[in-house]
Amino acid sequence: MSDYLQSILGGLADGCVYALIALGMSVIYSISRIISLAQGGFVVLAALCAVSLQSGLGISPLATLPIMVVIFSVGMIGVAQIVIQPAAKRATPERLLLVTVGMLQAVGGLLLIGWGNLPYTMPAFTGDAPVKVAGLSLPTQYFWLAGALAVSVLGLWLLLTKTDIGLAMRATASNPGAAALQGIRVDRMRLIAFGLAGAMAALAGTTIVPITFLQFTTVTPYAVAGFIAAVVGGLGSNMGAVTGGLLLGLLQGVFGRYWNADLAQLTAIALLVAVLVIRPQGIFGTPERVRR
Amino acid sequence: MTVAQIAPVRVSAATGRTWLGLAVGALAALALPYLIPTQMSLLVTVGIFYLACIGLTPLIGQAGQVSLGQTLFMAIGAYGAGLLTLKWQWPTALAAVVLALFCGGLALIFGAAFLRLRGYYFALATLGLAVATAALSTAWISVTGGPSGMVDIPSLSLFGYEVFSDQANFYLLVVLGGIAAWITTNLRTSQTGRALAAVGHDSVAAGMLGINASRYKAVAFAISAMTASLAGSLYAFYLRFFSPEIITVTVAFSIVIMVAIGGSRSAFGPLIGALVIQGVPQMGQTFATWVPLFAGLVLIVVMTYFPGGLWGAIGDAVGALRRPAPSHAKEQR
Amino acid sequence: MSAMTATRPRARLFGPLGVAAALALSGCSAVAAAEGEAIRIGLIASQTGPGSQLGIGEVRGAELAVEQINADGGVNGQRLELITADDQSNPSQAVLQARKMLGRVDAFVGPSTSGPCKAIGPLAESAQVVNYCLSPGLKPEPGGWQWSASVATHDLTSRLVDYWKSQGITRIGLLTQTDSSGAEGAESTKAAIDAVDGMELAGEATFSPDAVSVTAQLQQIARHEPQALVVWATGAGAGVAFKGMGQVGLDVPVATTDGNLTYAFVDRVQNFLPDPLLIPATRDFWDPAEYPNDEVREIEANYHDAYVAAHGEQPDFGPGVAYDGVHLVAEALERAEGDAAQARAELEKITDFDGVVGTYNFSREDHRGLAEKDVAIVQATKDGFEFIGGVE
Repeated sequence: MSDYLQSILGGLADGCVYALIALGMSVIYSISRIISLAQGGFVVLAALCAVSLQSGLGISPLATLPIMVVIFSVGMIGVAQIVIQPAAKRATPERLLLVTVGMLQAVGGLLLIGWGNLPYTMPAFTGDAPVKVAGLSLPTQYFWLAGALAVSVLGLWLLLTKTDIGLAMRATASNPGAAALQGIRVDRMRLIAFGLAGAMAALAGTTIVPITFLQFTTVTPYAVAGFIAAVVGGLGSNMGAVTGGLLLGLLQGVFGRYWNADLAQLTAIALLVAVLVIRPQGIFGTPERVRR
Repeated sequence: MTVAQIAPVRVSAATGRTWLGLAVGALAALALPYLIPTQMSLLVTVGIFYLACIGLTPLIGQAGQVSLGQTLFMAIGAYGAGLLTLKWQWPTALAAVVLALFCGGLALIFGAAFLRLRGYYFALATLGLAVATAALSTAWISVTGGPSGMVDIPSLSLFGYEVFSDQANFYLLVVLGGIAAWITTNLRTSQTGRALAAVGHDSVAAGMLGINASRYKAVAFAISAMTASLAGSLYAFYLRFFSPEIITVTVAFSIVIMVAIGGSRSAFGPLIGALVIQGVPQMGQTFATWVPLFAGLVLIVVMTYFPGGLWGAIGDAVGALRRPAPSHAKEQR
Repeated sequence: MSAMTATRPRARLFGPLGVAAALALSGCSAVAAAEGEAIRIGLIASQTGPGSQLGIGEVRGAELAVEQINADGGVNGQRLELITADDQSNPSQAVLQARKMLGRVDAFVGPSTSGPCKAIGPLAESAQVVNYCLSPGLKPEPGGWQWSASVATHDLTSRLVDYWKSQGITRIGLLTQTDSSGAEGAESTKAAIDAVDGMELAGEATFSPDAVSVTAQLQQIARHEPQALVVWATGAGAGVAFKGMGQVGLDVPVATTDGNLTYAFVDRVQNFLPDPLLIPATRDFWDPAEYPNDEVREIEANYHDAYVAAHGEQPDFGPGVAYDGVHLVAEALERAEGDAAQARAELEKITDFDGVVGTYNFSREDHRGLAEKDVAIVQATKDGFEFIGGVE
């Protein structure tokens, strides 16, 4: 029984990262209708930057977290300004998708040049000794991962429902044209969405890297996992992104333990295709014009 | 209607030049193995990826649908060729043709399901196919050989002649690539092509004109699947080996990158794309390290500013130099 | 649209010419140098990609061997030349590089890992060129054209289990990666445990090479209370497992595959090295006191000293297998008087050949030539590999 629970918890830990990637994609999508496949790449970039920061400056792993969050939210606003804004003005949705594929590829390339093809890790935030709860042995980093996800979800909810910016963002999400007529600067909302996604990438990357090894090749698996989670959950639905991510992690944890991790991937794809064909708006997505 | 009026006037001059261009191209292809004998394996790889790319051009360039699933059909073409020839002793050429037809049919079925979806949902669904391909080729060990791959696949045999050497493979690919280029170019300029372009431009309006959008797109998707399957079979016959590393999700991305960088509205675009993406890493370790970053940045720039790809951009630049007619440049979009 | 129809003919005309010119440019630099009277060995190694922790050292080891052979008068008086190529740790690249070398080389050494080795097998076979593969993971066919370097997995695990038995350890846990080398490690370890009285398997689990964490698998093994753990995985996978052991509080001796006998690997995992981390290793990692005779002592000293002088560090796994591979292939080519097609028969006749990895005894059936006698146990520490015993 505890064995079973352990697999579930391990899966959920990975699921937290997928959920954060999917949440970032979802925020970007709801504001700008752009599916950013690069989100998974930024998670690995943030992780390796944190590792270098930690070993280079000799600061504690936990201290890298706020630094990376600030750098990545500002950095992503810059990326959006330089790359996304010009593309969004000119390109069709399909070409925009390829622009984000280009970003993913470029991030992977940057990692290869900057960090080589070696895997990296760093010490846990609060020591390596696990916490024993009811026969389960839990790495303390699991709590940080769950915390990162909880803070992101809560923070996003507060921002969207309790602030003026949030109101403007929701208006933009539901109808960009009408929002622009109301005097909302849609371009600026888009930058804010990318900034939020950058912060989430930094949270995910910095918190996961202490319990694993990441390298430039990890970029594609993360991008793919985040994309599956976001689409299955329903693009643009934050609730759906979190559920999709946790579900995918759970699936991989349980399948990886009892059968084969590749089967988990296949099941997830089958689910993805089924969702796309039967319910293209995703499990939690609101129906919109997705069919011709 | 101006198009119809202008076109016939230019056609006679154009066909003359076309034939000259083709003749020069054929001569260059014949001479290449003697000019650069040490780069033949690169040219064969470029040829194989060209085949995988060229079939995508009607779908991407005309119908405006991005398929990220070419590796699925390459995998079926490759593993299928291995299985049919090794287990059931099928003739190699027959296996390649049957698999290409099978992939075309499979694409029609997938297309019927996916192409009803709006915009990039199709791209996402095909990305799903690419991920499934990578997982399945690793996990389905009894069929694919799993991570260690499928070994001892025979070379292609055509009319009793074994296509083994780089040179033989290259000439075969020049012929097949030429045929595929001819078919896709005709498709673009034919009624189907114009229907596709209309669908790509505005499918609702095209629907009102009586064009069945999904059907045209499904045909374009089937064509892409058939060339990909053929490319996969030829790759397997050439390498005499196949493994999951050859058809990862990254490869699925890079095929689309080749088409997008080169340009999806001409038969030469994908050739440029395949040459750049396959050729540059061969120039040395430093180049190999920089290629992913370089390819990513080029893709961003091309997708943002040059919808016609590098080939389209060159064409525009040459056109602008020859004939300063700014109004045409806008129409090109 | 009118602009498009107007520009296309020109495009067609210039297209092929431009492409041909671009190809000619890219090809010029690589045109082969004039082929003189030299014996050529083609070395395919993973200089980039995940296999590079082996491949870079292999190039160094092979270069050292070629240097020494030429200093001693070459092969029958002919110069030995090494042509190197990078397979980027990718089987299809390995085939392309091997094809490029066909007709130009008298034998292949490499590639570095088992996938690429299997991939170039059919080529070596049809071209009738000897291929000394540097991965121990390949199982060469009797009488075929491929050889495999170092010791077979079952000899490694068998020596390991014997060693643990001598230390009073009887309950062994097994954690393996789901790739070809992991699957073979699992099979061999179980066979070795079955073969020794009183040893038992205490918990078994597998994980996928791109797994982010394996704590669930480790937890499951821990419940069987093993006294030692075998982790058969290379690179990042092994690192994730070692890291996970700390997280679930599993603190037992660990053994891993000889694919991890690299400084790059130890450097990556130095902060959570299990205590101890044991690796079954060949002679090039032993304490000089354990060498069987003075002849071997001289060969080893010659290799280690020259390598340290050239690169400022002790050689790890890669250089040794490539160094021996080049020496063996050169010996076979010398006996065959430069006839590449004869080299297979001559290589099969080589026996009692002292290399740095071990003493080789080839035959038609045995294209590996090494056995359990060539294995001992070393411990990976932050400063490198330390011999701890297990020699017969």
